[in-house]
Formats: sequence, C-alpha cells, structure tokens
Amino acid sequence: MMRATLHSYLIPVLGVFVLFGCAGSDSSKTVSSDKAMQAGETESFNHKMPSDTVDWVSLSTRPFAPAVEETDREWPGERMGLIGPIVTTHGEGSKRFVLVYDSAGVLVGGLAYKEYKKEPHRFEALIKKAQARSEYQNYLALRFLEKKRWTASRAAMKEKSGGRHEN
Amino acid sequence: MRIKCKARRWWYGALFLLIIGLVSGWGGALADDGDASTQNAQGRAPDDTKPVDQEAVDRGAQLRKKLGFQGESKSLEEDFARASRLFLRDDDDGSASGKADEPGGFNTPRFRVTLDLWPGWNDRLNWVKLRNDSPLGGTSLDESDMGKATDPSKRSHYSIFNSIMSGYYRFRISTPYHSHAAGGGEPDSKSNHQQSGQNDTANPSGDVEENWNIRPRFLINPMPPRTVAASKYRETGSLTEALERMAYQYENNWDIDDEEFGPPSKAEEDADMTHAFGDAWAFIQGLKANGANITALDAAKAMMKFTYTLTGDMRWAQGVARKSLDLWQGATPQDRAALESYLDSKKVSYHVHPSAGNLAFNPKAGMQNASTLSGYQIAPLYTATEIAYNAEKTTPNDPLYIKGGLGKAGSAIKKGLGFLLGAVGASVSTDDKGVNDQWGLRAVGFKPRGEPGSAWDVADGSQKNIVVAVIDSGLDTTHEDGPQYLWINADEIPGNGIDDDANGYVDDTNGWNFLAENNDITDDYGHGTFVAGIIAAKRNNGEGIAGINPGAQMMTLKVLSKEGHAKSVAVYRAIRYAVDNGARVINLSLGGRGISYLEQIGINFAYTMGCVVVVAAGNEGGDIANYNLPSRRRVLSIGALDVKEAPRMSSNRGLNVALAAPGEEIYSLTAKKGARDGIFMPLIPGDYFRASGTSFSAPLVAGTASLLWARDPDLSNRQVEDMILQGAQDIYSEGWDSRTGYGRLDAYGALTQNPNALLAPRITEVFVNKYKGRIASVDLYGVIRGDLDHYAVSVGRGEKPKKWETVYGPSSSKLEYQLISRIDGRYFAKGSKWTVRLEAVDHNQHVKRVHVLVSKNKEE
Repeated sequence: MMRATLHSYLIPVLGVFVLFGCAGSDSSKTVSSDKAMQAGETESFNHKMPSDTVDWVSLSTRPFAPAVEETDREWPGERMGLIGPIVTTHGEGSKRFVLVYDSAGVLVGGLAYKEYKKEPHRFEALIKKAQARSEYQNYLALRFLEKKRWTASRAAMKEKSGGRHEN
Repeated sequence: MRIKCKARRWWYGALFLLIIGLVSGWGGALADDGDASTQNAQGRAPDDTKPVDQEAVDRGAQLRKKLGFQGESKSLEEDFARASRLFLRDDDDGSASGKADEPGGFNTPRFRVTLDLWPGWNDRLNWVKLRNDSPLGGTSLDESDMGKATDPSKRSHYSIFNSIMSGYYRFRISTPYHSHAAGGGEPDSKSNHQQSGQNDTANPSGDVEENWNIRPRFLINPMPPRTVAASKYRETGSLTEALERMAYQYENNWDIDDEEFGPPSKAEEDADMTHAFGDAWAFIQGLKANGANITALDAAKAMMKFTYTLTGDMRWAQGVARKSLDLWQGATPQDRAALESYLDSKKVSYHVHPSAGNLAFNPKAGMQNASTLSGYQIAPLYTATEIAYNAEKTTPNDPLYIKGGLGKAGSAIKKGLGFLLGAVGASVSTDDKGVNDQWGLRAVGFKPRGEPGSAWDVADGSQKNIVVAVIDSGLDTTHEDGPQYLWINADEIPGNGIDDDANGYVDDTNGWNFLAENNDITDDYGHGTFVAGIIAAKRNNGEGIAGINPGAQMMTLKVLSKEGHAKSVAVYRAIRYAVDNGARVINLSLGGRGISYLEQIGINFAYTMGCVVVVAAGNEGGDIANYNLPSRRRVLSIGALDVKEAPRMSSNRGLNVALAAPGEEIYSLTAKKGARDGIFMPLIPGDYFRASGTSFSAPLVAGTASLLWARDPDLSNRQVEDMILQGAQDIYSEGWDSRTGYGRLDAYGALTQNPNALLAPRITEVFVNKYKGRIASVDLYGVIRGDLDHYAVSVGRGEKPKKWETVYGPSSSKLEYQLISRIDGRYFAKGSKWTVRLEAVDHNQHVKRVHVLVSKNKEE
C-alpha cells in the first residue's frame, strides 16, 4: 500500500522533470568555494554590524494564494529527492554538447549540439534510457526506505515490548 | 602495569602442598633433634647404629648458608620444600596427537611435570627419578629418569611428560649429602626405596637415594584462560563470571611463569596485560559471533570485572567498561546511560573501618590518613567525565595541536618559511590572545583527554568508523598528516578499466573527479585538503595537526576546479554519489549567489536516505537566503566565529543558520598542488596553513557528526542534527539568533545528549503573502520534532515585546521543513517590527523558545 502511494506521487514528479528537462539544466550556473577572507577583504568590509533582524523585504514574498498547500510547495517525490533524467549543456560554440544523466547522476549519453538539433530522435532515445534508469533507481530508493521504515518500526516494537537481556 | 589481586594469593598458598610425607628419614639430617619417634609414617626406622657423618653435616650446613637459608630449619627436606616447585603444565609435546604408540596414549592429553629447584640444589642431586602414585590405584607411571640439569648455577628444571595429572608424584633422588648413610650407598632394606635406583649408573658416588612424595603445586593449570572462561560460561551462562574466572586463570599462569622464568620486566608485564585484554575482548566477540545473547552492557560489565580482578584498580576497570562500550558495535546511548548508572552504584570510595582510626583505604591510593581527605566519601574520584582508559590519557602529540600562540617560532621553524608566511598572511594577528594553533578544536570541546569537557573522552574516533564525504576540490593523498583512512570502494578492482560495481564510474576506488570524469582526486586548489584535514587528519602521529575523527573514512569527491568553481550538476552528482556509496556525513563548504533547484533535490535525497549534510553559511556578510546551498532546506548551515568566539563579521546570517563554529585562523593541511595565493595555500610550499571562513567552520560540525555516529551507528540523521543543536553553547543573543543559530558548537555537549530527549525547534523560512498590497498572512516553516509534547506560536510587537498574542497552538504535530502556521495579517497591521515566537515543550516540560525578529524595512 505504501509503495503504491509513493509511486503515485513519484510518477508525476518524474514526468515533470522529463518534460522540463529538469531545473538542473542551468549548468552554466556556478558555485564557488567560500573564499577565505583575506587581509584586503577585511579592510574593505563594512564593519557596521548588520542587524539581526530577518528582513522582511529580503524574504521570499509571493502572491496570496489561499489554495497553496504544503504539497504544492514541495511535492512528496521532490521532498524525497527523487528525480527524472537530467539534461545539461556543456561547452560553447561548435564544441557545445548536450549531456543526459540519470537520477543518480550517472552519465547516460551525450550529443553534439548540432546532432541534437538535426537528430532529435537520438536525444529522445537518450532521454528514454535515462528515464528507465531513473525509474529503477527511484524504485530502489523507495524499497530501501520501506525496509528502513520497517526495521525502525520493528525496533520500536522491540523497545516497547520489554528490555534487553541483562546478565 | 600488572597489579595483582593479592587477596587470591592465599588460595595458591593453600595449594602449595609440597611435602606430604617423607618416605625415608631425613628428619634429623641437619638439625637433628635425635628423636627417632619424629620420623614420619613413611619413613624408615632410624638407624641409630650408624655413626653421624659429621663432614656431610658440615657440608650441608655450608650449603644451607650458601643457599641463603636464614634461621633454623628442621630438616633438609624442609629446605628442599622451600627451594623446589613442582608444576604441571599443559605443554603438550605433540606426541599425544593421535599416535597410539606414544607414551601418552591415543588422544590422551599429556602434561609436563616439572621439578624446579633453586640454584645450587643441582649440586646436591646426582639424579632424579619420578613415579606417580595415583589415588585411583594401579596407574603408576613407570619410573622415569628425569636427567640432570646441566648448569648448576641456574635454576634446575627436571621435566618429563606424563598423562596422569592427579595424585602424588614420588621423586627418587640421589644426593651426595646424607646425614645417615655415610657413603654406603646401600638403601635401607626397611625403606620403600626402589631397588632399581641403587645400581643406577647416574649415581657414581654411590650415595643413598631418597624417595620424596610431592604433590604438584598447580594441579589445576592445564587449561588456557579462554578455555576455562568458556567452560565457566557454559556452566553458569554468566559472562561476568566467565571473565572473572578467566582473569584468575591469567593470574595463575602468570604466577607460574614468574616462578619459572623469574619476575617479568615492565615491558613483559605490559605485553601480558595487553594480551589478556585482547583475549578477553576476543572471547566476548567470539561468543557474540556464535549467537550468544550478549548486550553491550553485559560486555562492559564483564570487562570491568575482568579488569578489576586482574588489577585491583576500580578506576581502571571503570575506564575499560566505558571503553568497551565505545568499541561495541551498536552500543546505544541508553546503554551508556545504563552503564553510567551502574558505575555510579559502584563508585569507589575510601573505606574507613571503625577500628582503623584515621586510616582510610582505597584500592588505587592504598592507605591514607583520612583526615587529609575531603571527607570519607570520595566518590567523585571516579566520575563520568574522567578519562575512559588510563593508558590512553594523553594529549594529542601533534605539535600544532600542542603549541600555544599563533605564529610561534617553534611551529614556524619546524615547518619552514612557508608556514611563517602563511602566518603573516593571516588576516588577524592573534599572538597576544594566547590562542593555540588549533584553537578552534579546543573551543568546541576537542581538548586533551582527561580535561573536563573533553569530547574525545566520550568518543575519540581512534577506530575506523563511518564514511564522510567531502565534496570539494579533492585531496592531497600524499600528505603525511592526511586522513588515515581513505574510503575504499571494495567492489571496484582498481586500475582494470572496468566498472566492476556497475555504479557508472570506472575504477572509482577512493572517490571521483566530476570535472575530469576520472578517478584522479588530486587537489589542485587546496581547499578540499584543508577541509579534510580538519575532519580527519592523523592524530597522535607526532606530526602537524590533530583531526577531529581520524577514524573517519574519507570519501573525496572533486567538483571544484583549480579556480574554485563548480557546476550545480556536478554538486548534485557528487551528493548522489556520496549517498549511493555509503557516506553518512556530507560536507559542502561551497556556495554562491542564486538558487539551484537541482542541488536542493540532491540534498533532499541525502536527507531522506539518512545523511547529515553540513554546509558553510558563506562569507558575504549578507542574508543567507540569497545564497545557494546554505539557504537550502535539510542542511545544517554553519556560521563562523572569530578568535574571540564572537560572530564573524563576514559570516552570512539568516533563518537557516543552524549554529556557529570557529572560522578564523583555522589551522589545517595544505595541498602540494594549487595556486599559492596565500588564501588556502601558503605563498611558499609548506605542509600547513592558516585560513579563515565559514568553509572551515562546517567541517568542525561535520567531524562532530561523524564522531556521534562513530559512537552510536544506530542514530538517525535527525537525532545527530538535534544532538548537535541541543548540545550547542548559547552565545551572542539569548536563544536562537540569526548569526550563531543555536550557538557555538559544543562537541562534548552533543556527544552527551540523550538521543531520546531531543527538542530543537527551528523556524527555517518565513513567507509573506500579500493581497492588494496588504499583508494577508505570514507563513512560518520549520522543524519541530523529537521529544515534543506541544508547541505554540505567538507574535509581539517590537524587538522585546511586552505582550504576546498566541496565534497558533497548542499543537502536538511534528513536522520537518513544513508549514508550522499561517499567521493572519491583522497581527502585522501596526508597526514595522515584530517578534515571532515559537515555543515548544518536551515531555519533561522543558520549554524551548525560538524568537525571530522580522521587519518591514531592510535598513534599520
């Protein structure tokens, strides 16, 4: 029953990620290591102690939508970190590539951007392959969670039913 | 050090039944009282008709003097009894291993019978023969010639093998010194002398033979300690009794060894003790492996009994009990609590006997004058905060951990100019602050063992434990002070060019390089090595720094280029790789502007699968909500503290700051490759460097999380997170604040939390819902879990509201990163600043409050 419920959540999540090529396609976005502060940075830093106020303006604001519920903000599959194929682009100009990964981040395949444009069926094949792999990976993750939950409930029952053997 | 339990010695003494009877009369040999009636029952009738051999008597007296016998002894046999030992040993010579024609017989165990004589006695014996008089009757051993020791100056050993271990052994000896037989060599016909002896060629002097019956001193020796313990366990089912018996057996065997080979040296004693402890522990593990129902607490109690029996030192025993729990796979905090309770009940105090006046006794300190003690009950001598194991009561011998003061000459000279320039390049000179090189570790509780509040006393991470993934710029695996245990992918055969474990990565032995898509994890930026060093640098190796958890298995995932940049997809893939390959703690000292949805998915997956993800809050001095990774849900975002343990100016602030840890002047490893920019890498090659930033606060928390799991692998990631949060030392503003979160990391506090009594509520997000320019409502999101009874949300105006209005609650619903409550907009109609209060109460009615100050205006 639990598995069926989880799958019913999972399938639309997978679909969304496949359709949109996943938000992860913004591969041009970079993050950098938190650079340690150097002496120069110390000097240029504004020493005025910032307020500890959590600024209202800087918080995410959104239109009032009474119907917005928790599940709309973060879907169950999303909350669990389950995802479909990931499509990213790499390189520039003539050396631009489209790469497809499965949900575990394993590279499934890639195409030159020209190929991707001229032969979309090859790209679709890659997506389908990644989709199949992702589904199985997500299934394994769900099975792991079920087992973990079952083990935890067993342990809780054991704990309730009495102490351990004391020598 | 072996401190034997003296109380048991009497028992051995009772076994020391060497002389049972004297077959032939030597009664008046040297101290002849001339009374024939004193001859023992087995002795022959005195032969008064023979003249006393005065020369023999004199020689005997000289010999007694030479042998150092003081005082009067009544007879030579008494002297002999003093000077001889008879042992039964289980030294099977191998002849009983299935060879029916051997003297021992088919599968009959054989024991070595040893007559051991003090130096000098060899001169007194021409030969020795042995026969066994078994009480079972009819099982006499044929008389055997035990030969003669070759070196008269040493202790003599006369040994034969015998399959009979019961009864008395009759020795027939030939001696040149006999007070009655004046060189005759002819045995008295009334004696029970064996006639075979008189013509023995080993008796060239023709002296008279004597028969002595001697009972072996150690009749119960044959079994090895572990066998004896196993027997006891089968008999009683009690592990404690089995190990107690094992300890006695060790004492027994050591005594025999001491008798046979002389007093042990200190090194031998230490080796004996080490062997014994190892044997006892292996015995327990063996029982467990064979399905015996043994709990961690059983093992700890049994080891405590074992140690106390061996050493008589309760303090040591208690330390070993704690250590046993540390070593026990799957020991839970409940076990620890139960053990501490047990130890409390067994606290050692000075015992003052009413008749002993002012004398007090303690097993460790011995007799003391009670008037010098601070009361007769000295129970606090042995408290839970004391070191776990006396032998390990050490300060890390890593020079940079020990050395005080930044930039001190000692460290600089040792590490060369590179180090020195590194110190100069540091942003703040802290020479005058008395800060140690690794001040950050000490500040969060990683103090020398034995110091109050030392986290390493609770769990030292000296054993190989869980996998920690550092997603960063790689690792310099050649650094001599680098992590001791690199994570090894056991399913992958290195270097064969095949993805043996079919995980999509070829030859990923120690990690993966997500930039080059190969297994080269070499650090060419310096950042990753620095982070990994804080978590798991080798400790007590006499080199450089001390890592928090040197037993951690370091999984290195390289996503940062040599310029320090990474792609979101690489970070996502690295998180997935870490989770899928068994990492439990993931350190991400990465960040940047903007939000990546993909990384959030990866973090969600890690969290769902039971990992703790520790993230640096960032060094932009701004609102954490604007920066990727630290603003993500389901992470612990760590702010930085300066050397004064105040919030660091550049550390990002905001709702997602969970807690803070030292992030200034942090000392760690440098990589050999990489741009020597004086930021993470010294300008001139060196092994160590000092740097600042939240990047180096996060690994302090990651290391602590890994220690929590090293100590108790059964903890959930929620429990680990909450233990860290609840154990934190509240600093800066009272309660949670947006700069230091729950406060300064306190590893000792975290490690001593009860995982079943945790409540660390958090507000992680605040959303404002607007309608036609008005505030329609405010949504609070957060985490309320653990030992929750109920919670409520209140709102007040201003920074320190005098009046609170409860807007939600009480509720008992637990939630994680979910909507706590939607507060109606009318509560925010007046004013520009409000404080939202989340008040949670646990089942013990302890109240935890989180205040969040919210304001309409960005600038104050």
